[in-house]
Amino acid sequence: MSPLQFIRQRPFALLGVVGLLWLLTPVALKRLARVSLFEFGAPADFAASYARDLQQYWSLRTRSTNELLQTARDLANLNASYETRIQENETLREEVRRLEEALHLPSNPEYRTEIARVVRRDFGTWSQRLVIRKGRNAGLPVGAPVIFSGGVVGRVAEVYAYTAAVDLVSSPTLRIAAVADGDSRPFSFEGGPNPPFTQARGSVEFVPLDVYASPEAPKRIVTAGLGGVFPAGIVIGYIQNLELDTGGLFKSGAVLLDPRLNELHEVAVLVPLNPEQQ
Amino acid sequence: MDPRWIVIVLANALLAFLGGQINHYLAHLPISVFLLGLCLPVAGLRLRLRTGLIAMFLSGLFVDAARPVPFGSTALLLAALFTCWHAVRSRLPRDGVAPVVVGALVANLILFLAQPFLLGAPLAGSATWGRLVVDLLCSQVVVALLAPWFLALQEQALLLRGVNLAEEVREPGGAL
Repeated sequence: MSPLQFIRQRPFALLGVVGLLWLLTPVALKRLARVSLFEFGAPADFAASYARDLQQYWSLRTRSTNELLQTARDLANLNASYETRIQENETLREEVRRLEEALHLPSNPEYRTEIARVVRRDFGTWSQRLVIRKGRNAGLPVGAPVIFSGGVVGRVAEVYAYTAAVDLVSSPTLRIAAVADGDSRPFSFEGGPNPPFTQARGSVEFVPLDVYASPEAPKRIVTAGLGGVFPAGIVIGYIQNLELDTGGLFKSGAVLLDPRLNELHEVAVLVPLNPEQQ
Repeated sequence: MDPRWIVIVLANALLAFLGGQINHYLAHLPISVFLLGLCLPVAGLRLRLRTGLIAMFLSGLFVDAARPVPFGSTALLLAALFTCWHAVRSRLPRDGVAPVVVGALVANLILFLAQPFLLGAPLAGSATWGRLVVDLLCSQVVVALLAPWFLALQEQALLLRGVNLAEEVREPGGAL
């Protein structure tokens, strides 16, 4: 059968028409369809997420009173230490503000923190994402940084009515300007590639030649604060090894991310208070 | 309105939800399963061209809505695979569960390998070969296990709406 005869067959002609119609469909209509279909599926994920919360609640109800008392005592200790840190933080903030005024420096961007539960984790082969239980209802913008107690989680990629999708720091789709702890020269961090059955990874490139790291003495890297997305100083991970680039001007290497990244239940979204300042 | 494509699209939406839940729990390891190939067999083996094309295109759009791929890319891919399957199905065995399982495995393999191109990621650069092999193997095992159940689910759901696909395919103009 010649190729011409082949494509003249009705099924393929129909497929071609469908493809052509889809290509000619206005972008606004496609966007509307995408949002509508996502929102159509969102309640199911929501229900599953609430069911997990309920399951956790009932499993906690089975704990003994002694265990709960012990936990309450631990929490009271933790709260006391946090109280002290908050006071220290306030003093430091005040000092930074005074120095900014004295030196006429532009002030750092400020954020409000929005805590959100994780609805779904998706650690796919080629991309890693989270869906969180807050969206436009909490005023989340696209591109907002997402963090947790271990450091960077990722960046808000899409915002819907009551949910938002977060591109994880381990995803190859995410790039961040980073610096080595105690250094000010920025380099590039990129998520992935992620091997199975072990913690998430990333890679760094354009690292200065005098930065050293090995599995025995890993180097901590933090956000550089460049690019206007992530504030400076948030932990990304630890460089495990560094090798010379092919050009010999910089180094590149692998980064081990926080192992808790795979099992997050709650994250904090940093919502810029003055988006235009960024 | 034709209940066939509505039932198939809703069943595929359920499959997408279940796949999402499985991956949520597998994230601890971290590995993932890819089950999109399961969407195809019933449509490819039993549905007429127009109904099947609508069902596959809408299922693909539903899947695309929650993934970081160009919207409509999976829809077009599913529609293309369905059309190919529809064109050659008269030359393939269609009775029983085995064709469903084999068809789902082949479709899943093609769709899995197409993902990096849809995501705009290099096949090897953004995932290790170990991860690729483990994810693919896990996906194929889960697809093989779920295929008979998913076929039965769709057929029973269609029976509830008064559509007997097994009878329909033997009628003049049907798939068999």
